[in-house]
Amino acid sequence: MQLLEKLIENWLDSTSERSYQPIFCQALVNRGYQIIHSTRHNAQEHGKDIIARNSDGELCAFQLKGHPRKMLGLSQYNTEIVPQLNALANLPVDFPGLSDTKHKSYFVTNGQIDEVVWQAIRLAHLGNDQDDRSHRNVTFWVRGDLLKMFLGLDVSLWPGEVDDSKLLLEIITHNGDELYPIEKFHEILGSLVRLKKDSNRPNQEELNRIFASAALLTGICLGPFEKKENHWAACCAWAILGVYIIAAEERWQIKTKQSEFLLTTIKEVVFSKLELLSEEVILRKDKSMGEGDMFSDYFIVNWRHTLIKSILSYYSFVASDQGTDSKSELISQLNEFILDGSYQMDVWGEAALPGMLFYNWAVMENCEVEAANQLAIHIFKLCAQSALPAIYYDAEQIIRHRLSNTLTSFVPSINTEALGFKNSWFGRQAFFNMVNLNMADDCEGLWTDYCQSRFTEFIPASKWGYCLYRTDEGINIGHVVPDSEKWDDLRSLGRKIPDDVLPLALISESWLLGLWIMICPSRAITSVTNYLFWTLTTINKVQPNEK
Amino acid sequence: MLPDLPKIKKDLTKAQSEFLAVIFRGSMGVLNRAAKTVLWEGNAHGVSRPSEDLDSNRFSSTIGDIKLDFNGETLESVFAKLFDTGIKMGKEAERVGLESLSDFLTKRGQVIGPDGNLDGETVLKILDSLEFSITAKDQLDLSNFAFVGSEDMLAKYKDAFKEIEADSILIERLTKILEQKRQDAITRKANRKLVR
Repeated sequence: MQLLEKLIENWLDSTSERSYQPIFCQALVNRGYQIIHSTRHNAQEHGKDIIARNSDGELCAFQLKGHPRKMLGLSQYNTEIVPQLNALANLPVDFPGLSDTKHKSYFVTNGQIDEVVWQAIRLAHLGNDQDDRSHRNVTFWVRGDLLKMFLGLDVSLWPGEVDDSKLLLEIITHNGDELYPIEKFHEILGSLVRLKKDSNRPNQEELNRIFASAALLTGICLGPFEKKENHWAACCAWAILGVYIIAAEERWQIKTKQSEFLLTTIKEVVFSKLELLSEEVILRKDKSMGEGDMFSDYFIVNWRHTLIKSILSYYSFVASDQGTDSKSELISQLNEFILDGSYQMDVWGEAALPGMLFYNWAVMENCEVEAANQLAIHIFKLCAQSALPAIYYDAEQIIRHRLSNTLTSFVPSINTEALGFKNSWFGRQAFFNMVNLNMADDCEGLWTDYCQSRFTEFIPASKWGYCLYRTDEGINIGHVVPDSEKWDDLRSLGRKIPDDVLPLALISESWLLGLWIMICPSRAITSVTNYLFWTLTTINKVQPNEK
Repeated sequence: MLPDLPKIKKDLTKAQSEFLAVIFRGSMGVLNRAAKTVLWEGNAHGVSRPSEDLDSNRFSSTIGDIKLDFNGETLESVFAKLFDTGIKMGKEAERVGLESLSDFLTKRGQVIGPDGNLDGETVLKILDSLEFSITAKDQLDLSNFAFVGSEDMLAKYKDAFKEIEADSILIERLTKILEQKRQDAITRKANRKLVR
């Protein structure tokens, strides 16, 4: 227990306001606050990062600051903080649907405050009290207060087994510049949110507390990755939390208050991270998208191009419904990047294909019909010829395996017999992608290949099992394609909602489902990719009798 | 930061260092061919053993035996691209180095630079400027006599020696110079003493 407390303390002493904001929201909810709005940090904040209502119904505005391991001195207070405090306390809360004329103001920092500054604050409060403006007093919450709040998120619920503690330590000692260690996170988060085979059934109150605690765990596991501004790692971790929350509710058939709020917070965090990633890509001077040493980066830069184009294609779909002017400008810049043909891409394995579908759709949305059709055919042919390693191998394993053929210092990491040859886990999805894109002639031409190939899909035994990164229970379905099929029937089949395979709560959060199939490619089954096509894109929104 | 795979890159950098070490040693020309004398306890006579960097040699042969293409390019060509700049720089350094050495020696009237003419006469001048050692039987010891330089220079030297061989006067002068060098070495040997 002391170890966990120490971990939280260390994390708090090294994190920025952006990183601790979602956990802070969770802690507020835990204290009875109702979160109305949690902003991404931008110029429109007017000193208010979070707007909430406390248990007495009073409106509260919070300004968050990150001063890890620092002491706020008088000069910084006077020059930097006081103007922000004025905006926080004096400007009314401007948010649609709120008519409150007064609000309580809070200044929150994970650093500490010098005694002289406390004195200045007391004097300012005294002045306000004398002028009958006590509602303009700003309450300060510092490191100690935050620590108390976070420890209140039931750290005692965290898995206490030696193996889980070991995994937790392994995650927080990562350098932070690698891909997020999903398998390790799956193990500890699965234990915490009661998704293990032998987990006990929680009651509603318990599940509420578990979710709050899981948010804190996610924040702490992301510590090293946040330090390196590894936005994709942060997206993965928060998205996994979102999916696991849905899974726990589905498994135990319990609806909690926390889940709705948490999913909103997670969406905010994920979108802000994707926005930061987009900005980094667009503003980057190094157009080759290199990272670190040029020599060794040569071998993985095309993998990076593929991943970034997939992620940003996905983001161009989910961000477009947010609609602000700044957002549409960002999306048009994103589309420019997506269509830029100078980036060589590496379709390294079947696990890259769910992301490639988003890229394919983005190319189509931008009216590059011929290029999009060619790409769809290429993806299908790769699957039909079983030319790619199976969907269960990740990029690191495959690139290592490729290099082991050339460099003796690389040990082969894949059993070559299990490379997925003679079988494809994504062929059916790729064929239905062409059906959805209304490529009737091409589908007709490739029908023989489709019939002759072996396509398999893993369908988890339960809906909540679909939400797990790996599950032991389920069946491999080998699809036998009939010799002939009607085009209209194929088109209709493509529009089936996959409510028999995954929870409705996940279906209704299509932004999360889209992210999930990129994080866990083996969950990109045909009904899901079809559903995402019809939900996220505006392509071919016509009835299925157009041939 | 953008998504990355730092563990693979770390291993690649390690492989690159090993490869560069092989390239560097290979570029040292005839000097590298000398058997490596390994000192170990009890080897009072400096007996030579085979070179111990067998791993690097194996690595070098593996690089030559490329099995897979990388996006249409072989690993060898990838390496070649990366090393191209390094090799050009090395050649430039060699050229500049030889030229400065050449200038230095030309001032003393001894040698002509890589771009100048190198004839039998010049070679004799060069030999005359060198100091030779002798064997236990008072014969000139030529085993450590090695040439270090570019292939162009080596060709010029070969031509110059051919010229000496074809000219009886030059041969006579060469014999005289070598005999003089042997006598000088014998004198130096005779003059060895412990000064107290």
